[in-house]
Amino acid sequence: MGAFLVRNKLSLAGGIVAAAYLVLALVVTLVGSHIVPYDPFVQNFAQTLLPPSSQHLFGTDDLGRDIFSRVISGAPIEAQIAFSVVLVSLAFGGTIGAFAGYLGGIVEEVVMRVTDIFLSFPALVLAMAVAIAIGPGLTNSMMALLVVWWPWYSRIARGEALSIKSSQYMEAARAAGLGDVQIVVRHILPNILMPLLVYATLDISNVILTGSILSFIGLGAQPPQPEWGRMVFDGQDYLSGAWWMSVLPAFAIFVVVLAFSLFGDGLRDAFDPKLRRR
Amino acid sequence: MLIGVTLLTFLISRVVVPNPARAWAGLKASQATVEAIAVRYHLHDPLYIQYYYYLRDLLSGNWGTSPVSGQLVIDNLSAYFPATLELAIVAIIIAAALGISMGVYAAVHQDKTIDHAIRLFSLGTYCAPPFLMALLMQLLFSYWFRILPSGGRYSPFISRPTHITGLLILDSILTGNVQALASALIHMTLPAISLALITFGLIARLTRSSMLEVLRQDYVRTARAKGLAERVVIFKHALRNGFTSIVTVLALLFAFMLSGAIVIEYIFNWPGIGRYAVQSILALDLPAVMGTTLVFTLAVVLVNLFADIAYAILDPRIRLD
Repeated sequence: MGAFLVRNKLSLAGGIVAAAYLVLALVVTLVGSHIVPYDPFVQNFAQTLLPPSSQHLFGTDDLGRDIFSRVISGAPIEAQIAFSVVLVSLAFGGTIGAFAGYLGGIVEEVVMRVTDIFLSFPALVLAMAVAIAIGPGLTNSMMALLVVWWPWYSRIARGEALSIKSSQYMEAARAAGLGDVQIVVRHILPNILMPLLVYATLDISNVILTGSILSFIGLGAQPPQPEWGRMVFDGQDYLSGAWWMSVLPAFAIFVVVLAFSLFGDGLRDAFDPKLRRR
Repeated sequence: MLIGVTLLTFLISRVVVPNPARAWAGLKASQATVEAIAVRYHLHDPLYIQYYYYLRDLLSGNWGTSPVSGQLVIDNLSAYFPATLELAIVAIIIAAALGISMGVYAAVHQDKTIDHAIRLFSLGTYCAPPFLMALLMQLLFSYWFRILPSGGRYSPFISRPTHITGLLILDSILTGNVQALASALIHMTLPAISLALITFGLIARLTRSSMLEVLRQDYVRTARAKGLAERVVIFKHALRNGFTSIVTVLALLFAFMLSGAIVIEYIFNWPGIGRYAVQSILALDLPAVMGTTLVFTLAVVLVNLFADIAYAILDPRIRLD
């Protein structure tokens, strides 16, 4: 019991931090960057590379911009990437997987072989190749992540669909004369949504991590956008003299990723009682 | 599987790219060069014919020429590959040693404080972006304590050992060059530890859960009951049975590790394929990026194949058909 409590406390903490981050991202999206102490874009060459202080919580960068303000105004970007990639993958991959599992036969065979091909690439490497092919940029990096992400969902959806395919209410639905599309949309998708959503929560941290690496290597949001991964990249040349420029945005990514994965872990344990005692 | 992989890379480099000939020729190339490239790579032919030529080029080692440096992609890749391989091998050894021992320790002390500490530590390191780990290592050991070099693979002041395998550590041992070995090891330390730290968490987690499962089984109780030392029970009886799942996760980790290597090599200026990939991306060098994508993926596919074979050797109940 002790382990479960500790684990729950941790995932509760993770949930709180993740929620706080989402609220922050929402507020910044709605109000714009008026709430941050300094304009995240204005350069001030009288105040370059200042260490963290009470005036500049996270210090300033090589162009004299306040890093704390930039980190805060960059918050919505990661959330935007994570949610659009996860939700679209869930809808697209989930539907394809559900059809594959339900229909079986040649459809299933083809879909599973295609997902196998996608899954045999390391995620980051495939995303990198797609992103370079369609050109760097925030929207393009999201597209690249989508190309890599949907197969996981279709694989899970197929497994779940297979397991409920032979249940009695499926037979009843077929006996009632429903078509394949109606059965998948009305009976299978709602029933496999829960496991997919639990997986998606756990997956948000993976998307944020991979997305931040994509922007670190120059394929994500372009400067002067205050994107965290890009800020780390811009700051790493100044590491020896101004560590705050790269380490603090990287730490922001770490906190958000950790929060989502603690929360997702707890959620998975709660929904999968078999795993609880591990 | 390999056909599928090449088909996908083919589609990315020929269909997803808006204007492949221009991308392959480079942004500053003249119309004539672009046209020459289009003819050279049969870009005017139907797709299935293009794919045939693409496969033939891949198999014959013609992976294109970088429009940025003018060098053959395959030459660059084979020059950089040993460095990445060496880094990955050392990192995976560290990660496996650290992960398995911490996982076993946590499982044996289930629900004690040390168990929670290990689990939190492994989750934390697993969630850390690779650049955070690399930058912290560099900051601490290269800039604050100044005990380890901040980058590079080898000291420029020492002559390199004779090229035998391309793996510097192995080459220095083979040639008996102690000075070279020391330099290679010193440069290896920080990148390898950074890479190991972001990956060992998964091994620790899996070792712990499979050990917990095994430790509950009857034969472990029998082993204890007949008075065997706890150490023998854990390492000879339990761990051996937990090994099969650990081998699978090691193979999965390899893909994850390559992704980390891309960032970590760049930060530590490690002359491997990862750094080459980032430099090519920053220069928008399409052929080079497609080449690295293929090398990375082939490596992952091969490692998974080896893992399947190792699986069958470790667990005699599994037979490969």
